[in-house]
Amino acid sequence: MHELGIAQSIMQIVLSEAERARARKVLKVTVKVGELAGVLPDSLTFCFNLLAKSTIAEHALLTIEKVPIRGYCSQCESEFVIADHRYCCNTCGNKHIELVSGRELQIGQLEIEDETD
Amino acid sequence: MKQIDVQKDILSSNEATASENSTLFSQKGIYVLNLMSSPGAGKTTLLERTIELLKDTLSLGVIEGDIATSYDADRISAHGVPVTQINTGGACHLDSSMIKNALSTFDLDVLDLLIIENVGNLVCPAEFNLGEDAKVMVLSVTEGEDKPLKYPLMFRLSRALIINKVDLLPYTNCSLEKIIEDATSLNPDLSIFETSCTHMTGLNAWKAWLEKEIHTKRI
Repeated sequence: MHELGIAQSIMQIVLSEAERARARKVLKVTVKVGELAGVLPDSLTFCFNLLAKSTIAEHALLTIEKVPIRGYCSQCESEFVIADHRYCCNTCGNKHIELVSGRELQIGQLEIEDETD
Repeated sequence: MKQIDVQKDILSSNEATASENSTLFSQKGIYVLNLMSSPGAGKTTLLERTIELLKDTLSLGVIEGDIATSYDADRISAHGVPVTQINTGGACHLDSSMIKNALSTFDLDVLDLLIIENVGNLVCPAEFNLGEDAKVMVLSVTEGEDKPLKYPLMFRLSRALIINKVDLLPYTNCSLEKIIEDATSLNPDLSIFETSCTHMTGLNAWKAWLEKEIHTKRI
């Protein structure tokens, strides 16, 4: 249940970015969550909505984009999706692969309403 | 309506403080372990055994992370090493600012090794770097062989895995081979130790690994 802590960090960043852009309202927040991050989308949305109450982000839509786990094999110089926890190169079987994606916990875009709206 | 392209890591503020902690540890020559496991895997007992093996040659400090109580700190304190208890009051993991705040309770100039016992949990502690040199996991055989694949991130990020309570293997249907196979498929560089803290087996190999790590950081 670290979704509350993650939602708090999201909210801090969202409110500070929104303030800097002189937003009156935050309409939408897009976050990227890697499949290795172990974040439950429903739980994150619940926590986000809870924290958004009485802020300019109240009623903002949280969109969670799942990022698949991808690996890179330096022997084959190839990149591939890691499925079913098979952390090895699907061409040569090399186990010493680098993770290219899957650990993301990132804020992508915000949609806001500002004074001009 | 306007769109802002933020592209910012959600845990960036934790990462920034972790990096400050790490710099401070390096300046002071302190090797730092982040010890993680599920509740009841035997972290505190392993820590007590480790303290007994090392306290004559190294200056140790311990930070205990728990949701509530000072039970663990009381146990560590009985071994004569400085210990600070962090009660997270509900949070399921330690974060880097909690560690930063706790550091003022130690004399950092004399410490060689600081062991941080994280809150018992196989998911969340893995996400929050504390500024440590290594993450080490404890998994007890009574938890079952399915844990590596169920909790892949922690196994992927740990430098060492201590498979504990191996004396209980005859009473479980847990396969040690399966744990090792799955854990190394997630992390081929993982150092693995098989220990029993009640029968005092496997602890010398763990001690030797830790001493080598500390020595390597000093060079």
